[in-house]
Amino acid sequence: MEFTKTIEGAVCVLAVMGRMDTLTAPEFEAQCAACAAEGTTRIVVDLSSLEYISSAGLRSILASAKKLKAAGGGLSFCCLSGIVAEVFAVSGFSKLMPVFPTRQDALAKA
Amino acid sequence: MYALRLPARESSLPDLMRLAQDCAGRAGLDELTVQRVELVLEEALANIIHHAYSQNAPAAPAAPSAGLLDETPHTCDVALDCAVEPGALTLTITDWGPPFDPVRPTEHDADLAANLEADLDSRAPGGLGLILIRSMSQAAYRRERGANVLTLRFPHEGGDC
Repeated sequence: MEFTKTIEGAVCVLAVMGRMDTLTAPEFEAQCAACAAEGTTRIVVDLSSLEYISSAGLRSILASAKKLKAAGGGLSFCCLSGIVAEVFAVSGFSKLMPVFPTRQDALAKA
Repeated sequence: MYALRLPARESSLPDLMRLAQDCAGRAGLDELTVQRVELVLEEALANIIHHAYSQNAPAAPAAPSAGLLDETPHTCDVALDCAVEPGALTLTITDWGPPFDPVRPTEHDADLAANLEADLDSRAPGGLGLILIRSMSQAAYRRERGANVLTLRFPHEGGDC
C-alpha cells in the first residue's frame, strides 16, 4: 500500500493506493496518526486507487476515525468504486462516516 | 474439482487464495465477482486461522467418548475445494475445529445488526468479516463428521442462483 499526502489548508488529503488488508492496514493507522501529530486532525481519504479492502482495513479505518474524532477532527472519504464501494455499503461504513463522490466535495465539507 | 489441504496458518493463505483465483478465472467470473471471491475467502480463512484451533474458540459440546477418537483428528488443517462450472464458482472450506456456524444468525447477530446502525462512538470493531461473508456470497454451513463445512457460491454477476 502506498500513500500520497497533500495539505489543503487545514485538511490533510491522504490518497491510498493498493490493497488494505491484514498486512497493510496498520500503515493506514500510522499515516493518520502522523497527520494528527503534525496538528492536522481533519483528514480526507481519497480511495480512487484502492484496489481491495478487507475487514482488517475497515477495523483500522474505524480505529483511526474514533481517535481523530476524539482529537476534534475527523475522517471523510471520496472517490470509492468497485469492490471498495461495495464493502463500504454492506458494512454500514458509508452511513457511519462521510463519503463523497469527488475530492472537491469532500474538501468543501471537511 | 480442484482441492488443497494445508495447515491452518497465515503462511498457507497465498496458496489457497491462488487456487481460488485460478478457479474463478476458469469459471469466467466478472472482475467484481472475482474480487468478492478473494475477499470472502480471505475473511473465512482468517476466521479459521485465528479462531478454529485456538483456546478462544467456542467450546465444543462434550463428545461421546466412543466418537471422540473418530472425530478428533490430530491435525489443525484447513481444506479448500473449488467446484468450477460455467459462470459460477463454489468454494467448500473445511476445518476440524469446534462447531462454528458463520452463516446462521444467532443472538450475537442482534448485536451485529445494532452495530451496523450505531454511530461512530458506539460502533464496535467486531463482526465485520461475518457481514462481508454473508452479504457477498451465497453461504451455507453444515457440521459433518466432526468438521465445519462452509460452502460459498459465487454466481457470475446477474447470473442465476
